[in-house]
Amino acid sequence: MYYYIVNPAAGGGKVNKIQERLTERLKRLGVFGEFVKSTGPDDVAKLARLGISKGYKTIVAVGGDGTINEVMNTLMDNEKVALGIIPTGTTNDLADNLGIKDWYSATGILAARKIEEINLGKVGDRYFVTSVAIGFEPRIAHLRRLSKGNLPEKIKFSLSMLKHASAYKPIKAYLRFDNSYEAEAECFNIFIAGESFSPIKKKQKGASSKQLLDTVVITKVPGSKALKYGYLPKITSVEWPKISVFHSKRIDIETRKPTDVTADGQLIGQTPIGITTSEKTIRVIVSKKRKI
Amino acid sequence: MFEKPKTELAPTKSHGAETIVGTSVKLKGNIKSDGDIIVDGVITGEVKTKGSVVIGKNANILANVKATNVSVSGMVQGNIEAVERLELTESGKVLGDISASILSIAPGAIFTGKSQMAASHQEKEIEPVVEIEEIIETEKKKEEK
Repeated sequence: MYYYIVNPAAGGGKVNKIQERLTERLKRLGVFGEFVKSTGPDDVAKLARLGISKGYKTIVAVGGDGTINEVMNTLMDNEKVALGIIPTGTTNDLADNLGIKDWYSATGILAARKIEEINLGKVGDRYFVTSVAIGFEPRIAHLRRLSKGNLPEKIKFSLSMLKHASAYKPIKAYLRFDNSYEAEAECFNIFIAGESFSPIKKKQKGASSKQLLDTVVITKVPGSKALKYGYLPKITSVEWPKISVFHSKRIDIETRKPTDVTADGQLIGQTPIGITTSEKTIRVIVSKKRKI
Repeated sequence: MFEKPKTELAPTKSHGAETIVGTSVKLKGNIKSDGDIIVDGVITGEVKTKGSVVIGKNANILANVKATNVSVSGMVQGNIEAVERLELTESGKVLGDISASILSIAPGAIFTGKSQMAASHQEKEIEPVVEIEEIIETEKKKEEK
């Protein structure tokens, strides 16, 4: 049986508009179950624990990256329970990376039940699947949904990106890698991800960085590149001469002033912060068309 | 037609990912890697890799460098040990001792220090001479008979 944790506030209440069609489709596909609604910030984790204690084998997060991250932090290392996702949030990057485009296709993916074990990284005392960002990225996280919208929304996104990029002042950051070396730089953005979610194109297939985190430091972004950056393309040193790339198991980051840190697109704290690889995994129901 | 002169090192068969120290990044400590390293910033410490190290025009390195291949277009104050090839381009400056199997210094490059060619390369050059001498001697013996 499936246990659905619904965040009714996600995506500006999107789930309320689709609720009838969603339940109807889940019933038709034979994956209907118990529905519970969260009422506050810590509610999602509590409900997830309740679902596990009731013996459900699939906990489905109905919401955005924040809701999924909350459920994920409760389910990790649980070999019996799988995480399902129905994206209805403002930002759905995690679902997108797992090949789950919208709520409709998500229901089909749930029914197909293709489960994969995904490695997690650790940031502070929390775990993440996709990436951690510090600097410009957290500033524009709320705009990202526009980049996937219709043409007027895309134009709005492009204009906002240019405005934000030109007004953004780089932050002075100190990065320490594996207690081996330190880097000091004025940073436009710092992006940390495991190989699966790294924006860096690998020169060679099978480059052995699976157990490492890629840290991409962008010191400056010219206006012409800011827009491209907004869409988070795969980047190379040729396209981005102002980038630095490091590989390590642990990164400790300090900034002159406390700066926002996002993990899986959600604000999780401020600098100083430590990010490490971890042995923790989570079982996730993914699409066959997943990007990782 | 004419072949373009080589300005960049061919990538080494490394097993790790590429590390890039970009411009305006100051790095302190010991970088150890299995992959290639590209430097355009400032490094103080030590650089060691099984891959190649490419030191760009804007780079300033106060460190010893050890790699399979090394290309220098910027400033290095320290010793360089290249297992295979060391290349100083016309803008390269090295203040320190160097060792390599294959050494290439372009006109305009500045190098102050001792240079040493790796023993394996020298042996390769000596081997054919011995063979020729042996052939000559055996031919002489044949003639004498």
